[in-house]
Amino acid sequence: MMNPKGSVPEIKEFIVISDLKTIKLLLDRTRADIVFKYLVNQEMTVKQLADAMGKKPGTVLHHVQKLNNSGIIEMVRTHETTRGIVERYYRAIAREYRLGITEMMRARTKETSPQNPVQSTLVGLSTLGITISDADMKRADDLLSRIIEIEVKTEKLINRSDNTAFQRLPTSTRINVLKSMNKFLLSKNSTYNELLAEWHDLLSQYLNNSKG
Amino acid sequence: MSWPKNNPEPVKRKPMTPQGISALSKDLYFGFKFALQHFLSYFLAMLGIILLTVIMVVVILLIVVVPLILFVGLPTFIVWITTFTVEVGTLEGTMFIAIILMIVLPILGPFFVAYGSLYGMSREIIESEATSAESAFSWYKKRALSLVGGGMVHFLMSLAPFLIAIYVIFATSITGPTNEQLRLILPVGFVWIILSNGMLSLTFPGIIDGLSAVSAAKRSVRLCCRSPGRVLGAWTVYFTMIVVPIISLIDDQFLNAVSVIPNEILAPYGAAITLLILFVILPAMSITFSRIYLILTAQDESVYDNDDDDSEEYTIKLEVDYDES
Repeated sequence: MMNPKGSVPEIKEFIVISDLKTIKLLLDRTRADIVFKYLVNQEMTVKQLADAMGKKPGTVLHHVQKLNNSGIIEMVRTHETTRGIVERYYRAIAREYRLGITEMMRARTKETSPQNPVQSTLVGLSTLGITISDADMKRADDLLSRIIEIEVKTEKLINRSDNTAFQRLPTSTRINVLKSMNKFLLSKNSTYNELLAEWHDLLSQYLNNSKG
Repeated sequence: MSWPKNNPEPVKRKPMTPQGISALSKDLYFGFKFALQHFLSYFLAMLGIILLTVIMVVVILLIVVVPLILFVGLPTFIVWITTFTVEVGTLEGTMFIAIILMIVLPILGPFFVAYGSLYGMSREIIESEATSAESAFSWYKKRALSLVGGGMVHFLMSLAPFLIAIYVIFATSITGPTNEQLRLILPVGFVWIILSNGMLSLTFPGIIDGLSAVSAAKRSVRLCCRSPGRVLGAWTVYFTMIVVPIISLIDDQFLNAVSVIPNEILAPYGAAITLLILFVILPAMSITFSRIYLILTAQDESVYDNDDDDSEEYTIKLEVDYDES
């Protein structure tokens, strides 16, 4: 008999992953396949997964244990066969996984660039002909750090993982809403506006110099 | 006055897994069946692991010994080693125990990892019907620290009463036990070693399942308390299978009762017993305990069912708590 006795817990429609470690865990191709190709659709044992993926059961078991420990998948039942095998059935905890935008951006930044956002902005400006001098570097760094800090805080206010209605929106809509609300809230923040004005003054100096 | 309850709360059925002799015999049968089926994998893995363990012990000794020789010089070092027993004998209780543990535990560490990686292979067999010799090295690498920790928990728990006794004898003016007292203390100590190791016999499967050494030990004790017959029964069978043949090899007046092997065949008998223990009994034991662990934890998490439709007592209702939030 293969069906579980009693009621199986319902699979969630979707969950939002906002933990950086969990996101990184899913960046591995094998683990992503285990979750998104197989376990979101049905419950499976390590052997079934290994057969389906053409991998060794030992390798699959290691990946499954990592996913199980991080809470991305769960063990739904254990089945003892007459052959003496004790099969553990695993299943994804949700049909769909969405990444929290803030964490996703952070993960992307860390994956693609080892620099912090301030440093990468300053380096990026040099490609536009704006090379901040050593004398102004400390000031520029300080201004940008504070600006980005406020922007991140504001974004977190809007993009809350517990706001399920917001998280249910399609990604493009969420990004548009996020941009729009961010602009609005930041325009009302006097400290942010002062810092931004100061930063623009600094940029203007360099733009004027480059024109000259 | 209170309103009578016309909707009493449903009585929760306690999840049950098979218990008793039938379950124990199944565990032992499948342990040996799979150990023999995967004999070659275990044989190759054991050879590799033994080699690796010897290398690790040598490396650990070199890490300790070489700087010591460079620091104090070879002649002084030799003098230290030769007088070590005398020096240790004169140490105070705590220092004596600390020195012994400092020497013994690092050497035992690689053996704990080697033994634990067998459980990794067994887990693969019990859960997916397949394993390979190289799997042992994968578990060796991935769970090394936890397996050392698990081994130390076993070691310290088994010896804890003895270490406390040694400490008390050294730290106070109490004289050592007399021969009459030893006649009582030794059997009690022996029972303690069997019982404590039996209760911790699911520690290694727990570590392979991803738990830390301490959590695995706690879970092992909890599972053993819930199903003492199954866990301690299997442990006693394997303990007897390993210890009795070894004792029968020892030529001692005290052990004459079990030393029934004629002297002429003692050497080949010893070799056969060693091979049997290493390549069949230890793998079978790891398979049996991995199987027991998977079944009992399923009961622990209320997710167990089996193929025996007739035996209602084996079936449980799924009662997984599920957070909808």
